[in-house]
Amino acid sequence: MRLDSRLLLALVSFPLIGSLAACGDNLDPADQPDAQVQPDAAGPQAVTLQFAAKIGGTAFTCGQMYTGIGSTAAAYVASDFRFYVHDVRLVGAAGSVPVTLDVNEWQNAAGVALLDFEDGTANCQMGSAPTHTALTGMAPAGTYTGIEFKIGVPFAHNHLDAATATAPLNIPAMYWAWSSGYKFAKLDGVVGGQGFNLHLGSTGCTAPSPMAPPTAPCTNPNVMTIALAGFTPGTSILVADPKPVLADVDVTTNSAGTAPGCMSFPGDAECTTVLPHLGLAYGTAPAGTQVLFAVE
Amino acid sequence: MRARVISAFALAAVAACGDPDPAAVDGGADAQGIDAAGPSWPLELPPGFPVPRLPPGARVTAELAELGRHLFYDERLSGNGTQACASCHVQARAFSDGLVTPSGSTGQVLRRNAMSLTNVAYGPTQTWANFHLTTLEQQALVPMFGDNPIELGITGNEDVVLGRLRADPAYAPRFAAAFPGDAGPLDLNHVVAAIAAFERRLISGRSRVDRYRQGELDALSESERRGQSLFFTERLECHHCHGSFNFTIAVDHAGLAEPATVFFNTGLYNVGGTGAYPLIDQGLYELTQVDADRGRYKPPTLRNIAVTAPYMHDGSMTTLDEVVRSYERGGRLTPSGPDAGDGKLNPYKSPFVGGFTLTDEERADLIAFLVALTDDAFLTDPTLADPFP
Repeated sequence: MRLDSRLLLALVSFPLIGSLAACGDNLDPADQPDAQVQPDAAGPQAVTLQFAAKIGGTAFTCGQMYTGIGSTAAAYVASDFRFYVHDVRLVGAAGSVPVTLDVNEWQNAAGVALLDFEDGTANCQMGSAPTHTALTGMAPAGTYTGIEFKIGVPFAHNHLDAATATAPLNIPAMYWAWSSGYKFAKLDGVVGGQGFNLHLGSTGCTAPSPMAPPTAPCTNPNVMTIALAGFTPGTSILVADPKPVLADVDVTTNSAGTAPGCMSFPGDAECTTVLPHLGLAYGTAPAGTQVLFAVE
Repeated sequence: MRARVISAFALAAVAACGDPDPAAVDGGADAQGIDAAGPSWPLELPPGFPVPRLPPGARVTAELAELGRHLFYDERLSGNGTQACASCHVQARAFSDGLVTPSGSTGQVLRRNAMSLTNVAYGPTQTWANFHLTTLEQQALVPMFGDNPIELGITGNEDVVLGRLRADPAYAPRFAAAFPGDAGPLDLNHVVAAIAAFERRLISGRSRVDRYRQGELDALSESERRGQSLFFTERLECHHCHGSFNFTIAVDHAGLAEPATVFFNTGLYNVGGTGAYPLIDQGLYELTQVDADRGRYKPPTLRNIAVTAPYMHDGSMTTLDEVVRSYERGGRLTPSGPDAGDGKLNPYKSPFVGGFTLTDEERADLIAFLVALTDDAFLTDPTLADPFP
């Protein structure tokens, strides 16, 4: 049973990697590395891509209070900080090349990884002790000055059964349901005793039931595309900071009948400015520029 | 705090009788025979269910579980011979007991509602609120040896209890089959390992909701399907704590990098507006003495929830309707009495218990869905039933 699911995942992952390699770069797809063969004559190099979680420029800590959050400059107590990353590419003079992520309990063979900054302490009640703050993998030798990645889980993997999927796509707290898939990002806080939770994920997924995968791609995939210049592998840090994302929403209130905070689903007034600040359209609000990630 | 003391005491008690190695208690029996620590699982699992994680040294075989079934139902496994595990864990009630709180073999009333044993093999922790009890082997020691409260009351009666079991010739072949190569005699480590193996067989995943999910489209009525949709909405937020294949996010299995150990305050109480729960039971706070842990309990599985009333850690809710209305309100109001207070305003309440509004039809649909999580085959499976005539 378990062997079968692993085999299935491996089989599914090959065309995915092929398609990732084929999109958005200037190189011949045939030259791209895959999970089996390491790249080009110059040889691959190990890369570590360090991330950091901050709120208003201060390091994220479970249970810590951060001030000045949202349109009313509220006090916000952090309670979760996790997100999925895939399609990681380094950008050099000749274009971008994929990073083949190491496979471990945080990074799977399809190149989907979970970054997890909460340690289960204080009011991070949904979380657990281990953290994962850097991606590791292999990239073709070269000099890189930028990075591209996506926040979320690709459709082909987003509607797996979390009960039988391999890590990191099997964490109960990061899974909505079979139809809607995973929470791409879970950035939670408590404001005045009430939750203000930012859960990013796909919506408009047409499925026979919440416990079945969708029959067609979701109307709103809500996968974030990040492209940042001025990034040097091993030196630069990719900082995720939700404060500017929440800048135009009043985090002290929640519209009646909606999720506490913004959980991506249509018709939630608290999402109207939040998703555009993630570079995503929401309802009639057009996509803006993502302000969650920056290079330090 | 109290539970930890009991647990430590019980460990000592077991170590003192029969086995010189206390560490062996933790993983069940000595690991001779088949060690199933890997992802293999010798017993059938429902479709789509992951392989449970076995603690180091523990094993599951049909023969070991069968010995465990006999012990689970055997009243001779209590100090005074009046109670078995099954006294509080009745199959027809999904291995709960239908009582607000049960009484032990000597009549002492317990403070917590007997949990359903549905899918305990997937529990990251056992019991309502104790992160120290991570294995079924550890948990079994609490009812067996705990002295406050006394449940099975074996402490001080170890020789009597073992004497009864060893004197029954019917146990000899079951023991031999369960522990190949072990000359015996049956000791309390064997008992614990066998009961834990039986408990790992208590896997329920064939409800009508499961059948619907597997493509049997007439397995759910329209009302139940509407309830299923409501359950998974961001409006109700049920699935944030009761998600996963087991309808709780407190799950563990062999494929997880680590157990998902979670506990939440659902706004059941707010005594005097201080965030306190009734003094008899403060949840996780008793282990940590951290105020924010007041009233935190493990979210139980919702599988078979319709047959496990009354509800909550103290059995203080009688019906699913009452439970749903409490979550609608965002916490329970206790208007008067010693526990008076508005749970909705409990400062330690989970932010996901924010309240919502349902029409009467929606509430009926939601409850219909919960009832459809009942697995009748599990409740009547003869291989899980009392083997004694």
